[in-house]
Parts: sequence; structure tokens; C-alpha cells
Amino acid sequence: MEQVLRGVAGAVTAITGFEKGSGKTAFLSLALPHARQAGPVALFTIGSDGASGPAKRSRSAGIRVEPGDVVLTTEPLARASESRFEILHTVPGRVALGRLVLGRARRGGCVTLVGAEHFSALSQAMTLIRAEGWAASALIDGAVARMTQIAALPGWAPPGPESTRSAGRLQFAFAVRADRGNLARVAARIRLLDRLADLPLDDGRDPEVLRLEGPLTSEGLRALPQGTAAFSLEDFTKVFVEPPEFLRALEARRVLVRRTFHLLCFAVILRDLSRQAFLEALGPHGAPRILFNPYEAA
Amino acid sequence: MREFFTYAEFEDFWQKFRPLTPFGREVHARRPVQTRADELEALWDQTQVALDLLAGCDEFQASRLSHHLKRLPRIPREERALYDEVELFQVKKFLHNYRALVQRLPESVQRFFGLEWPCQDLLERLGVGRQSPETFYVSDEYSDELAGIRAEIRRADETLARIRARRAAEIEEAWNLGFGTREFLVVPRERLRSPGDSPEAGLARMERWLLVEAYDQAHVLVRPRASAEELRLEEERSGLQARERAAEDRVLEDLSSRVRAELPHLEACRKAVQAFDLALARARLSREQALTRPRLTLEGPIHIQGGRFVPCEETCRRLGTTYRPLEATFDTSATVVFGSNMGGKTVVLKTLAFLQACAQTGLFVPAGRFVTRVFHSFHYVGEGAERGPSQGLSGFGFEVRQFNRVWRDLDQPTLALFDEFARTTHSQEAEALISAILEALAGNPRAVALFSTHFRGVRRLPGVRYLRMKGLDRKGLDFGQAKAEGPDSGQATGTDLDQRIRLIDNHMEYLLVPDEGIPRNSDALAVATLLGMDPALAGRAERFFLEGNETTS
Repeated sequence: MEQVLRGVAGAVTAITGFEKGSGKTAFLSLALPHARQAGPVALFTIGSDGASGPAKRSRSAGIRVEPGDVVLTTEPLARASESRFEILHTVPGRVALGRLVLGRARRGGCVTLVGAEHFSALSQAMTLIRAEGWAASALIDGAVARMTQIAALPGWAPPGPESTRSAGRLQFAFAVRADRGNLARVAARIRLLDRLADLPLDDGRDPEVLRLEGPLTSEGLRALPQGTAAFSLEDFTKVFVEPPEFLRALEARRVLVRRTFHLLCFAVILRDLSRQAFLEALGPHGAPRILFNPYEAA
Repeated sequence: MREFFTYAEFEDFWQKFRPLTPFGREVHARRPVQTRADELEALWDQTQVALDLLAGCDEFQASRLSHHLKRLPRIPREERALYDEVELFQVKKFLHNYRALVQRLPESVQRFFGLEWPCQDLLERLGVGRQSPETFYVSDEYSDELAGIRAEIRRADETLARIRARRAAEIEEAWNLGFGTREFLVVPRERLRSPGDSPEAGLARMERWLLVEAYDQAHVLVRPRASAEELRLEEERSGLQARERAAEDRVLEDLSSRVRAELPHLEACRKAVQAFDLALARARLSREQALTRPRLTLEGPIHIQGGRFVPCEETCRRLGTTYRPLEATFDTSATVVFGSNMGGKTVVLKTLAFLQACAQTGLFVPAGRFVTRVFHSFHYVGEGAERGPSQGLSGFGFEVRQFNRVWRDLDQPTLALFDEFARTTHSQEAEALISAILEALAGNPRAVALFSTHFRGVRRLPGVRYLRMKGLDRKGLDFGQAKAEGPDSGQATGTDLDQRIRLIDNHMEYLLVPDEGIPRNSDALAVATLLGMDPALAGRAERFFLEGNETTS
């Protein structure tokens, strides 16, 4: 577990969950001390899992920060925090909870992160943090529904095909809560994501590879020109096809991506389910990336 | 006004004008049109000063100016009892970058733009303690009271950390549960039951140390329970934090009063830096696009030398065709421009619209020389203008409504461009209507109106200038080639069509020349032939055309 979590140091890690209560924020808190090994950490949230109302929509639970950590929150929440913040930057726009600011913690304490209304504001904030050297790593608490948007965020390295599995990468960690009720669905999604994360890189040199733009849907998959032996997507977050259908497509055609992201792990919390039962449901794929219940006592 | 700017295809060019500060961007978003000559001259003077500044700067120096301009944030402009930390941060960051910018400018430029530096004391006060010049923090050094409270909070935090560490060690020893950095643990239920304990005794012992929640049938979720001492210290810390907020508020009140006192100076700095930012952006655009300063005349003629309609110039560059800048003088209130299709008469009108749009938004212009007037109203009448919500009007009906708006504005300096006005009605009626308008405009020194038209029957009136596009140079053109390409040539598309258009472009002389009213061969029929119309059909049409000319002459 320690080895996996060390992978967040120096990287931009988006922690996404399949559904509400999957443990994203808890996993972020767990990863935070490991990220600090590389220096100050920037902490963001994007959306939330099913919360509603203007105030709740972009707000996450409190996170404990240490001096040097950089957070995106609002001025009133920064003021109300146990921590004290040095104001580094004001983010354009305003959310229901007040004006958004980037603040650097001067004292340890809990603070509530707040997400920007527009993704472009978050993207700009991240670019600025990197350019100013305010943080060495970033952790983003974001719902899985926002994965496509997260993929558009800048890594610490310049985006583009060259931004692959290298330092400064943008990577994903998935928080998953599994029980008997959702086991089949969760296992299918993990299998799919595991395959997607391993899709080979399209270097643009193979003329047989059809380059698709935008999201891939069931309809788009069926509308592929006859005889298409290989196609490439911008990145794996552009797949909006049910797992069985996409896995069938993978058997019939070569699928590549033009930008790869590292998949750090699936942090799996099991309820009333043994590891053995979960692994059996999962099948041969995905097991190496599973981080079983990181909160389980040794 | 909006239709005029749309007709001029000005929007894309305006987007190349990029102020760097939020204050400059506000002006850019409004796109104000200046209608006073002195204000325009002042803007152009500023652009010239900025151009001279850039000419004396190396790349690094210019980039430093941009660097500081980009980092200027918005600042509060209204007087308020209390500014929050964010507003004070904005003031501090503004002042830091403003000062750095001013220090990089020659004194003459500082004086010209009124870039004074009156807020040294405020900047120093906003930077008290250990903080970087572009961030803001209510540091301990602002008040002894605040420093004292924070020292107490630090001690409380240290004590709390020690207590928690001790408690974690005790829990680990008693239960073999290592929390590390984790706030909670998921534990098998049997781990919490000691061999000799009764269930009640076990639960009681456990609950002294741990908060226990059900997790699933085999596990519980546990987190350390705060001891009485911890709870007391947390309460104490909470009280200290309330005192800390109050002490911070007193610092904020003091800083706010200082900001309030400097608001007039801050506003002066904001205005000065806004003017400088806009001037520098205009100067950068002038260098990128080879723009020159326009000249103003009160009621004299409009002169265009080497006038470039940038959107068309860019299209020509993309297509690899030659772009010919406009040479023109419009020395009467009304001018008629005749010409065949694809002869360039619309581009003449658009070039004037584009140059005028540049000039009256304060930019320099893409021309070797542009002498013009300051207009208060701008009109475009013709195809493509927005029809608005009215229903049931024909194309002609809309044009008449557009014209009525022009007519109402003619008591003030007006530039009106009529691109093939009344083209959808009967030619004789259209000629009569245009003639009447020309007659009315000829005696109006406040207006400048250009009409592009195919209607050669408009009256020759005193005070109206008649020009035509020089048209097609037929030398070297092989009209038989179109026929050789067979019946499909009329449906030319893609590369073939591009080649035909290029051929027409290369033989079209985009020059304005006086029109003496003498009948000429029809360029339109020649263009139709070059675009693939059956030459026999085009030839027959040419004969009818010439017969018609003979009859009318």
C-alpha cells in the first residue's frame, strides 16, 4: 500500500469514485501525507457525488492541511478554518459560498475545499500553481462523472501525446465501495477501466488507425466504417460505452489512445464481502491494481 | 452600429487587440467608439508613445512590462468600513506590480500617462511580517495581541498533538491498532474482544478509548475517542480562535482605514495603468499588423492610400492569390461605385468600413495613409444585415427600413454604405430610388455615403462622384478553355473551382477608376463563362447586352 501511495508525490492525482460514499475524500486524506514527501501539496475538489443545491454542489468535506499546503476554497471558509491562510490568488468568478481563493496554509487545521463553477478556472489555477512553484503535487477530489473534464486539466508536464507516464503526470485513483448488491456492476467497471488504462499509445504513424474525436458512444461504435481494424481515441475518459460492449469491441479491433493516463489504483472498500469473493467476481483482470481497504487494521 | 461592424468583419481583428489588465479588458469588452476628434487624437498620441517605448525596449524589457501588467488584479473602488483579506490582497498585489511597472518605465512615459507612485506607505503596511510581495497574510507582526494569541494556539496545538500521540500509543498497546495518519480504521469485530472479558466489560473498556460504529457484519469502524483533557484543550483552542478572529478584525479595520484614505490615489493609478495597458496593446497590434496613424479632417475628402481590408488580405494569403490594397479618394458626400460581379466593389466599401472602424475604436489603421472624418453614426444597408423581429417584410422592405434609419441620422456626421441597395426590386424603380437618394445626399456635407450597384441607369447628378472597378483584363484569357472542359464544367467544384476563381482573381483589376458612363463589354458575362457557363450561351447573352447598349445610347 505504501508503495502505491508514494506514487502521488510529484504528480497530479485525480481521485474519483464510482458513486456517493465511495471514500474519495478519505482516500485523499490518506494519500496527502505521501504527497507531502515531494513538497507542498495543492488540494482541489470538483463537484460531488449526488449532493444537490447550489451550496452543496461544489463543496467537499473538510480536509486537514499542514503549513505549506495550497487549497482552493472561499474567503469566508478560509477565514472560518482552524488553519490560517495566506492569500495567493483570487480565482475569477464567485460561487454560492463566496469568492474563490487559492490560499497557502500557515498553520495546520481543517478546511473545507470548494470547487470552481467553471472548469477553466480550476485549470488556470493549476497552471498558476505550477508556474509559481507553490506546490509539488496536486490531489483532486472529483466525481467519476467529471472524469472527462479532469482529463482536460493540465498535468504538471505539458499536455499532449508526450505527456505519458512520466514525472508530473496526470493520473487517476478510483475509490470503490463494493458490497453484494453492486459487486457485478463494480467488477465490470473495474475490468473496463483496467483495460482502458492499458490501451496502447497512438503515435500517429500507422495510417490504418482511424482517429476519432470526442466521446465514443454505442452509436459511434456501431457507426464505425466497415473494415475499421483500428481506431484511436483522445484518451480513455472518452469512452461512454457499457463495459460488455466495449470489451467486445476490444476483441474485434485494435483500440488506441492519443494520450495515456496512469491508473494509480482502485482503492476498494468491501462491505460484507470477502476479498476472495471480490477477486473471483473481478476475474483475472485488475487484481494487480487493487488496493484493498486501505483503512483496514493490519 | 453593430451591423456596420459586422459588415466590416471587424470582430476578429478586434480580438487581436489584447490588453493585459482586467481594466484594459473591460474596455476591450465594451469596444467603445470614439466620436470626438480630440479624444481620438489623445488615444493615438498614447499609442505613439507606447510604440516609441517598444522601439527602445529589447524583448526582455518588453516581456517584463507585460509580466507586471498581467499580474495586476482588480481592486476595490468603493469606500467600505471593512475590506476583507482578499480585497487587501488585491490592493497589495496591484500596488506591488504597479510600482514594479512604473520603475521600469522612462520618466517621460510615466509623466505622459500620469503613472505616479503615491502609495508607498500603504504597500509597506500591507507587507508587514514574513510574507511574499504578491500575497497577503494577517501576520503576527501586525499586533502584539494577535502574536500572543497565536503563540497560545501553537502551544495548545502542540499539547493536543502530544496528547493524541500518547493516546495513539496507548491504543496501539492495548488493542494493537496503529492508526498512523488514518483518521479511522476498519477492524474485525473479534479483535476488540479480550479473552477474559465479559461482553459488558469488554465494551466498557473499549469505549474508554475508541468510538465504535458498525461497518458490516464482520467489522466495526473505530476512531480514537478524545480524552477529557483533549476536549478541554479543544474547547480552549476554540476560544483562542475566536479571540484570534477578533484581533485579526482589528488589524483588518486598521488596514481598511488606510486603504480608504488612499482610494483616490488608487483610482488614479488604476486609470493611468488602464490607459497605458490599452496604449501598449494598440502599439503591439500596430507592430504586428503594420498599422499607421490615421489623420483627421473636418469636412475634407477621405483619402485612402494602400488601405488593406485585413480579412480579405488574410484570405488571399491563405489562397495564395495576390491582394491589392485600395487607393481611393471620396471627395463628395455621395459616391457611386459600379462594377461587375467579383469585381471588388463590395471590398471597396468594406475596406472603408474596416479602416473607419479601426480609427474610431482608437486603433491605428492598416493603410499607408488614411485621412478621414469623425462620424457619429454608422450605417450599412444591404444584404446580410440583421432583419430583427419584424415579420412579413420582403428583402426590399427591410432595406427601406434600414434606409429610414440612415435618413433619420443625416443631421449628424454619418457614414453610410449601401451595398447593392434595392437589388431585389425592378431595376428602373431601383435606379429612380437611388437617384433620389443621391440627389438628397449630394447637398449634405455631414454625410459620406457610398453606393455599390449594378444599376447603370442611376442619374448623373452634380455633387455625386461616379467610379467603377476597372474590371477584367481579358488579355491572355482563353474563354474557349471552359468549353473544352465539357458540359460538367458548369458544376465545377473543389480544386477545379478554386482554379477558376484564381484565374478570375488574377485577371481582375481591383482598381477604382472614374466612370464616364460609356457602355463596355460585360464583365459579368465573361465571369460567367470563366465559371463554366456554356460559351455559346454566354456569347449570345453578350450580343443581347451590346444590342441593348446600342439602343439606349
